Amino acid sequence: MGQTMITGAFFLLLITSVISANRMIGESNATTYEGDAVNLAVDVARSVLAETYRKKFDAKYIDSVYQAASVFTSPTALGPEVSEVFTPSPDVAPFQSFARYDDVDDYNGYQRTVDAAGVKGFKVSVSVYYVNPDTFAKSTTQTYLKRVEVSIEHATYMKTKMTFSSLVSL
Amino acid sequence: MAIVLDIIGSLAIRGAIVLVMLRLNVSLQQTLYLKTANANVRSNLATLVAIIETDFRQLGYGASTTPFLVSDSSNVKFIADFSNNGTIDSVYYYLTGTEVYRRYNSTSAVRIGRGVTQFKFEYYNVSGVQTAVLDDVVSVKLSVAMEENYLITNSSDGQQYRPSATSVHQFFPQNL
Repeated sequence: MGQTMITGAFFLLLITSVISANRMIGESNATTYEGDAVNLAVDVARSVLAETYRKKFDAKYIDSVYQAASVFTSPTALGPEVSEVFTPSPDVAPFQSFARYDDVDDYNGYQRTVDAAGVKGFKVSVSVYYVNPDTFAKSTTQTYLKRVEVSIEHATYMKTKMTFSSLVSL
Repeated sequence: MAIVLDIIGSLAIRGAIVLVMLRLNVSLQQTLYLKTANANVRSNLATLVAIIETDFRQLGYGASTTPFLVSDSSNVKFIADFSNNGTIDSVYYYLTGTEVYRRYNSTSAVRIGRGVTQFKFEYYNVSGVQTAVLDDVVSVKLSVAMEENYLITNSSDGQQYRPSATSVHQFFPQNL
């Protein structure tokens, strides 16, 4: 009876380990799905950043004369002009931003919902602000540098919001 | 008699222990294999997209005409002064079976991806609408899916999977 009891105790210990291992395997699969979603999110964010690169630096930018930074759009007024506002918001495919917006800071406050391959419902939001050229910190006055921040999240597959940013210069 | 029963009982449980341990070992191996295979295919896909993205960034640079020489859903050939020496070069991406090749000028084509199950280009105009008019193209969307050529059993649900990865990337070349 003693042998059976000792072996049974080991068996119970083993079963506990198996349950723990199975839980680990399940979490591993969840991580795989999250990894796929993150890869797609990176593609989406980079596409939005690439879109902004084609836009001019500022609505008041003129390429034929020297302009002091102070003539550019005020930091508090960054965003689309009245004529560039569209619905729906968040934007959905086919995205209107590329046709409607003509300068980088029009994207400030912009949002879009993206369905990427196999994963629907990525939420993208963009903010644009001037940065100090020496410290790259947010500036409260106009400068020749703007930072475009693209944040992306997904309710199911991403635990945290991811943010990508890029500097755009004159 | 009690001793005999004790030995038989413990042997039976020990047998079960061995079986459970073997099964656990197999499951862990399969999980590890699946993770590694997924990582490999993702890495291969990322490399493929990075190569294409680098060329697309320069698409049309130095060209005075429409840069597209071939542009259909799974092949694209375009020109640009890639080496910035005043000479226009061409690069050609095409899908053959499940392999993607890149040919630079008239050099031999180089395979840059295998196991490619989707390699699709879509061309968009300034309004974000798909177009077939090459002069109107301002952005190109690339959808690529890649998978390994072997099946792996997922230990958690017993289903067989082919490790795969997908990427959708939209390029906005500066020179279009």
